[in-house]
Amino acid sequence: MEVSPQTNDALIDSIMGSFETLHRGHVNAKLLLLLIETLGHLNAKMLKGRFQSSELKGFDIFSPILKCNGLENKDEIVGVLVAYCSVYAELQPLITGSVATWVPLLRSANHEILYFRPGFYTIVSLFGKNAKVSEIIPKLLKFNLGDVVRQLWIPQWISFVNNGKGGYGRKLIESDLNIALNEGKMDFFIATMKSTIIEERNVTDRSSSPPFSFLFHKLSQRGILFSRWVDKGLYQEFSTYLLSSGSKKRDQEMDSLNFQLEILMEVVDHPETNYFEEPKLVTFLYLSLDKIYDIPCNQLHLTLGALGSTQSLFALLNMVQYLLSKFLIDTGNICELLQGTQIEMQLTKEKNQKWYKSKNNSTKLPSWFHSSILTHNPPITKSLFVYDKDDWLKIESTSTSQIVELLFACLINSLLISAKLLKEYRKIKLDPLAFDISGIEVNENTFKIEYLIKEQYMDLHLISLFSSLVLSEQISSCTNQFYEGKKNALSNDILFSSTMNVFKELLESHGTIGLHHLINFAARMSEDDLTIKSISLKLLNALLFDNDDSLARNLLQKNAIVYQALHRFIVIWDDGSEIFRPFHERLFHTEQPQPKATSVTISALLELLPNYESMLQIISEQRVQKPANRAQTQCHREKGQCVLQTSGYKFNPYSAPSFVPAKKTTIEPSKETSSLTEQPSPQALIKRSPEPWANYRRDITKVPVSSNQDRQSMFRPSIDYSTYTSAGSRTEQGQSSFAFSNISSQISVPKTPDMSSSTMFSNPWEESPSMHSTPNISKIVNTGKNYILGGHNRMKNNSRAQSIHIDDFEQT
Amino acid sequence: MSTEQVLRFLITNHENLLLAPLYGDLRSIFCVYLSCFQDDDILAATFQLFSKALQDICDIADGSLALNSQAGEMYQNSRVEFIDVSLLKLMHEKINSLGGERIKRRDFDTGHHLTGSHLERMLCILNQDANENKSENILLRKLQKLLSTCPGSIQLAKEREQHISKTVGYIPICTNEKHKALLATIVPTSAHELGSIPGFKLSQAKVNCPGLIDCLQRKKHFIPNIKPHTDISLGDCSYLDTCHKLNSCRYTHYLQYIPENLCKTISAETKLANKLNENQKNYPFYTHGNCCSNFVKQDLPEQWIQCDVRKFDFTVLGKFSAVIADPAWNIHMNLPYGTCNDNELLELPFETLQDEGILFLWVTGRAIEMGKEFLTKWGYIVLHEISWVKTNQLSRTIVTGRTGHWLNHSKEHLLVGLKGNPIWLNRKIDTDIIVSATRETSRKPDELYGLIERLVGPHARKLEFFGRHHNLRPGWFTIGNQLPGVCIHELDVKKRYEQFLAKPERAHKHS
Ligand SMILES: [Zn+2]
Ligand SMILES: [Zn+2]
Repeated sequence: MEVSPQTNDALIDSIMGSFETLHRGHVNAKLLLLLIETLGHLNAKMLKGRFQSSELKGFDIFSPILKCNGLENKDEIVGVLVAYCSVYAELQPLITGSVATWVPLLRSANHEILYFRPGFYTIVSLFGKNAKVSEIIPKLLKFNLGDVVRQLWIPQWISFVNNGKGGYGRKLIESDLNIALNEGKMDFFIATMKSTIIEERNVTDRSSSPPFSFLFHKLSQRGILFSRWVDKGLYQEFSTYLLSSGSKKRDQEMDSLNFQLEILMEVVDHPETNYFEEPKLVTFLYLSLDKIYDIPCNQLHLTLGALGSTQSLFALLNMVQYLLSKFLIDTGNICELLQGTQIEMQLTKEKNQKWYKSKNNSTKLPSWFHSSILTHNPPITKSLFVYDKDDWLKIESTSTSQIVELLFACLINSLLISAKLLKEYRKIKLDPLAFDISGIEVNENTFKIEYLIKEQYMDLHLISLFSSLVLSEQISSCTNQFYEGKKNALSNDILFSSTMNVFKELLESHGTIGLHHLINFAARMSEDDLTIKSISLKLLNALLFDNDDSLARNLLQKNAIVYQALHRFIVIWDDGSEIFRPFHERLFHTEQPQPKATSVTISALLELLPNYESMLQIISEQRVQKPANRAQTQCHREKGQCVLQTSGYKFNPYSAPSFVPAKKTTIEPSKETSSLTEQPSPQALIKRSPEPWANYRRDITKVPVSSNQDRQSMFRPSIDYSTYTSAGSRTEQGQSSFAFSNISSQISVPKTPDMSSSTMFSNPWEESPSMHSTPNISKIVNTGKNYILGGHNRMKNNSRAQSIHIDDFEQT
Repeated sequence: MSTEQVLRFLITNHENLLLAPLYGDLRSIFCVYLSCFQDDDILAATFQLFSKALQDICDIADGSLALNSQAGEMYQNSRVEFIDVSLLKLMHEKINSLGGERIKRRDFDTGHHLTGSHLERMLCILNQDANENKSENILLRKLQKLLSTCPGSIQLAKEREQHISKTVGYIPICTNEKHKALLATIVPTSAHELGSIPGFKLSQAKVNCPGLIDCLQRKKHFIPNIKPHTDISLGDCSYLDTCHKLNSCRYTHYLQYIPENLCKTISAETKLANKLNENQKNYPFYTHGNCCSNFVKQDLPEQWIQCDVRKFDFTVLGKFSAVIADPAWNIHMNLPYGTCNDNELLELPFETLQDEGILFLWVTGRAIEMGKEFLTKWGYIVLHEISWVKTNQLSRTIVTGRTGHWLNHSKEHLLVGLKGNPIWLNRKIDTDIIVSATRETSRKPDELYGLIERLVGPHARKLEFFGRHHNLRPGWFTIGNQLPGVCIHELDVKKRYEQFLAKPERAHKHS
C-alpha cells in the first residue's frame, strides 16, 4: 500500500520515540505491544534513508526490557524486537551497538536442542497483515523463542560484530555449507550480507560454481518470499535469478496487477494441477497474493474487468482458497497413508489392523464442494506466460515441504484478502448482495433469482471457508510429517483465526442473512459428514461466545428464524458434551439436558439404512451370482480380453431405444431362503433375513467383523449392486430393444422425399458437370457457411471459398 | 389460529416457502407465519397447532402438501417438500362456498388415488382426459412443458459464436455464362497462370457486355484453360485443380480470375469485421464452458510430436477435450512402414486421452462399422455421423466414378463419439454435414476444426491423431509419424516427453 509521506513521517517518529522511551528505561507492556504493532506497518522502502546509523548508535533498548521485572512473555517480546531490528539494515545498530552489554542479562540457555530454528523473517512475517500482536505473542511460546534468541540469533550477531561484516560473511560462505539448511542462518545472511552477496554474484567464476551457486539459489528461494523486508536491491537480484524470463518487457509485465490476477485465473483454470510439479506457479501465486493484498478494491475490480474474467473477484479468491485447501488436505492424506504403510511394514501381522484404522481416517471434503464451487470446463491449455522458459530445472529443486509451506502461506494470504475486501466494501457502503431491481419488470421469478444469487454468493464463501476449517482440523488432529512441528502448529492457529476472521467479516457485512445461511449450511453439511459437524460446533462456539459482545449473538437474539434454526441444530446433535453447554446456558437460557441412553440392536439400526431391503436382496443374490459377476467385472477392467468376449455386442445409436421399460428383476433365492419359504418374495427375504444379518439379532454384543472378507461383503454392497444391475440390465436391454425396434419399424415407414429429383445431385451419367448448369447469376452463391454455422457470420465466411450451400444443389 | 388462515398463508407464500433461505423448513415457516399474523390470536398459536393445521390440510386435500415426515409425526426438522397451490386454492374455494361449515374429506375429492402397481398408476394417468384439472395432469403438463422448453443456453451459445467467431474472407463465384465466354477470349493465359487484361480489350468488353466490369469487381470468375491437348467435347476434368496430369489431361480445366483490388477490399473488410469481433470478446455475459481467463489467454501455437503411435506413451500428452483421428484403415492393404493396422489401432490406449469429451473418427467404406465398434470399445458412445460432401473447384459435388460399387461415392464419414458427460460442450451450433472442396489426397476439410473449436470452446486442449504437417494448427496438438520432428510449448508435456525419451527400454528400442 502506498503510504503518504506524512503518515510515513509519523510512523517513523513514533518508532523513534518509543526507542528513546525504552532507552531511558521506561518499560511497559502496552508500549512494547504498540511498538511491535507499529513496526509491523513498516517496510524496507519506508525506512530507506530515514535513520542515520549514528542516530541510533548509543541506544540500548534491550537492557531495560531484560531488566524489567514482571513483564509477561519477556522472551517472546525480546525475540520479536530482535527480529525486527535485524531485518532492517537501518535498525541493526540497535543490536550491534549494545549486544555486548545485554547478552549477560539473557537467562542462561537451557542447552536444549533446538528442533526448529526459525529465522527473523519467519517471525516478522507473522505480524505483517493481521496485526493482532497481543494475540500472537503468547502463541510464540510454542517456538521457544527465548532459546532461539540465545542459541541461534545472538551468537551470530556476536560473531558478526567481532569479525567485522565482510569477514564473517566470507567465512560463512567458505566454511559453513549448513547455512542453506538452517533457516535461522539463512535469514541472518540475507538480512546482513547484502553487499557480500552482490559482490560474490559479480565475480562470475565464483557465482556460477559451488558452493556459492548453491547457497545463492537457496537464499533466493527464501528471500523472494519477503519482499516487504528484504532490501530492494538484493530482492531484485533474487527475483531476477529465480523468475526472470530473460526479456525485459516480460519482467516488467510481471510487476503489473494484470499479471497477478492472471496468475489467480491460471490457478482456477487448472484445478487438476499438482502443485508439487509447478513450483514456479506456486511461487508466482504467493507473490501475487502478497501484492494483491496491498491494492485497494476499486483498482482490483477495474483491472479484473479489463481482463474480461468470467469470474468475479470473490469467486477467484474463494476458488483459489478451496483449491489450496483441497490440495493440502489431499497431501495430508497421502502422508498419512505413506506413514501408515511404513508402520505396516514395521509391524507384525497381528497389528496390521491398526494400520487399517488409520487409513480410514483420511479427511475428505464433501464431493459436491468441488462441482458447486468450480465451473465446468474442458481441459484447458496451460498459459505460456507462467511457464515461458525452460527453467523449471532451476526451480525444480524446491522441496516438497517448501511448496507445502508456500501453499499454506498462499491460503492464509487469500483469506486475509477476503476479509480485507469485505471490510473495504463496508467502508464504501457497497453491498455485494444488493439486488437492484429498478428498471426491471418484477415478477415472481425476480425474487427467486434474488434468492438464488444470495445463496450462490453465500455458498461460494462458505464452501471455501469450511474447506479451510477442515484443513485446519486435519492438521491439528494428524501427525504426519508435513504438519508436524511447532511452526506448523502456529501456522495452523493463524489459519484458523484468519478463517474465523472472514466469518466475522461476513456476518458484519451480511448480518442475519449471513448467519442464517451459515447455520443452514452447517446443519446441511453435518448430516453428511461428522467431521464437519464438530467443525461447525467449534465455529459457532467461537462466533457466539468468544467475546462478550458478539455480533452473532446479537443477530441471533433479534431474529426468530435464525434463532430456532440454531436451536434445532444444537438439539439434534447435543450429546451432552461440554461443547454444547454454552449454547444452552448462555443462549437458550436453559440447563443442558442430560443425554438419554438408549440401547438399539444393530439390525434395527441397519434397517434405517437407505436401500436396506435391496441390500438384503443383493447380498442373498450375490451368493448365487458371485462367480458370474466376477467374470463380468473382470471383462470390464481388462480391455484386451474384453474385445474378444464382447465383440458380438454392437452399439447401434440409430436403433437403440432411448427408453426401455425396466422389467422386474427375478430374484434367485439363495439356498438358505428357499428352504425357509417356497415362494421367496422381497418381504420374505427381509423378515427372515439370511446371513449375515441374522447373526446380529441373535447376538448383538458379538463383534460384527470377524474377518476381512466378511467385512468387505458387508460394507460394500453398493459396489456389487451396481455391477449386478448393469450385468442384469444388459441382457434385458438386448431383448426389449429387439422388440421395440420391431414395433418402430412398423410405425414409421420411411417415406421418400418428393424432391427426390436428379437435380439435387449431379447427373451420374454426365460425369463432368459443365458450367452450363451452374446456378443463375442473380443468386449469389452462398458457401455453405449458413448451413454449417447455423446462420451466423452472414457477412463473411469462415471456410474456404470452395464450399457451397447444399440447398443450392436443389435449385440448380 | 384457524386452518383457513394457515391455508391462506400457504397460498400467498407458497413460492417463497420452499426456496432459500427457508427451504420448506417447518419451524422457519412457522416463524414467518407468526410474523404475518401478528395482530390475530398470536398467543394461541403454537407450533403444535400449526403442524396440526398442516396435517389437516394434508388429510383433506390429499397431495397438496408433501412433508418429509410421516403422518402425525412432526419432527423438529420436518420439511415441506412440495406445495401444490392449485389444490390448496381449490380447497380454499370450497371452504368459502361452504360458508364455514366443517369440511370433510369426502367434500373434497381430489380425484383418484395413487394406488396399485406402477403399471396401474401409469395406465391411470394415460387414460385420463388431458383436459381434466386433476392435479396429476397439471403436474404432468408442467413437466412436459419443462421438458420441451429449449434452454436459453442454446440460443446464447449461438449468439456468442456469432459475435466472436473469426471471419474469413469470401469471394462469390460468378455464374454468368456470357462473362465466362467473354473472359476466355480476352484474358491472356500462359502455362497455368492468368495474365492481366489488356486495356483496349477491356474497354471493348465494356461495350459488348455492360455488367462485366462491375461483376469483375465483386466476383470470382472461372476461365477455361484451353491447351493444345484439350478436347472441349470431353467436358470438364473430374479432378479440376487437383488433377495430377495437367500437362496431358484432355478434359477441360479452369483458372481463377480475381482482380487484385478485389482481394484487397475483401481482406480489408475481413480485417474490420474481425476487429469488431475482437472488441466484443471482453464482455463475457454468457460464459458456459469458458475458462475464466478466456479473454486474456493467448492462443497456444501449434504443437506436434513425430512418433510411432504404437510405441508412444499416451500419458505424456495429458487430457484433451476433443480428439480427431484419421487412421489409415487397411483391411486388405499392404501398409507403408510406420502405419498401424486395424488391430494395432484398436489396441492403442485411447482411454487415457480423455476423461470426458468427444472423439472424431474418420472412417471409409466398410470401416464405418468397425469404427463404431472401436469407439464403443474405447469407452465412447456413437453420437453422430458427420458427412463430408466433397466438392470441386467449381463448387460441384464430385463424381469420380472411381469408388463405390453400386453408387458412386461423393462423401466421407466422420463418426462422433462421446465419453462421459461433458456439460461444457456448446451444443446445437453446427450441423452434421460439411460441404467443402477436396484438396490433397486424404486431406480433410478445415471446416472440421472450426466445428470442434465452437463445440469445446476456444482454449480447450485438442488433439489430432495421425496428423500430417498440413494439420498443424494453433491450439491443437498433432501426433503422427509423418510430422517434421517435435515442437512442444506446454512445459509439463515437454517434461513428460523428455522423461519418456530418457527411459532406458525406449532408448534401446530406438537404436
Ligand atoms: Zn461475372
Ligand atoms: Zn484433368
